[in-house]
Amino acid sequence: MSAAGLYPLLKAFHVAAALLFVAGVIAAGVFLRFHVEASARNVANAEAFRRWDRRVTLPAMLVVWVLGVELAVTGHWIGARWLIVKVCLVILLSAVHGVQSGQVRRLSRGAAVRAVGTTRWVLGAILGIAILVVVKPF
Amino acid sequence: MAQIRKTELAAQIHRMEIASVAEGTTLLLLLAVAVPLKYALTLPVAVQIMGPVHGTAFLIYISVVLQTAAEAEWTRVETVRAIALAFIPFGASVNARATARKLAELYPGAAR
Repeated sequence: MSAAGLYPLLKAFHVAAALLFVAGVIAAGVFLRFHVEASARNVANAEAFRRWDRRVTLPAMLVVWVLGVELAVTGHWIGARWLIVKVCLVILLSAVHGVQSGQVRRLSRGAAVRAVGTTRWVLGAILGIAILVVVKPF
Repeated sequence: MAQIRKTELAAQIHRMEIASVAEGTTLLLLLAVAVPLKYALTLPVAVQIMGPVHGTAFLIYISVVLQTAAEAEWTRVETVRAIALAFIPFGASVNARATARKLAELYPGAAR
């Protein structure tokens, strides 16, 4: 099957990975909002959360990026303005994920973390990405 | 303070070193090989390959820097400096050594 023939399948996997990635980022944001102190329970929860991040959220993020680049090349979307803005928003989500991973790791090692309000940014980015991909306004 | 096994810290520092070397090497290959090939010999294929490869290495490096910055609670200046070093060939490797030192200070009981 040609690369163009695989496009719908790659797109489906890209969307599935994006849903898993975004779910992980939202869950981590909520988790870190209510687990800032290094109590024994929080540390144990953070260790479990860290395993989920390593096994699901991080691989999903990498799949999002790899398939996203492939889809942009195969679909001849490189240079499209909506895609440039979308990439900026995905970079923002990836950066938030990086900060969250570090904080969860710190908590899992028994150190308290500072609450960082990321929910508004994350929800805004998700809304922006959905509009850009579906409507392609420019 | 925080509990961490010696092997865990070593693995974390090793991952950061790999990300730094990959970022630095791909940036050098892109700037010193792929870009001259494109403009001197009109061979864009090298940039078409090295562009996405360096992009991926760059993203992984930034992700590792942000993780470490959040974990060790770096200041904004330290974080921006670590990211800025990614734009200089092998600047990331310089940062890797400094970060390894900071992580070892953060977890003194687990020094390599």
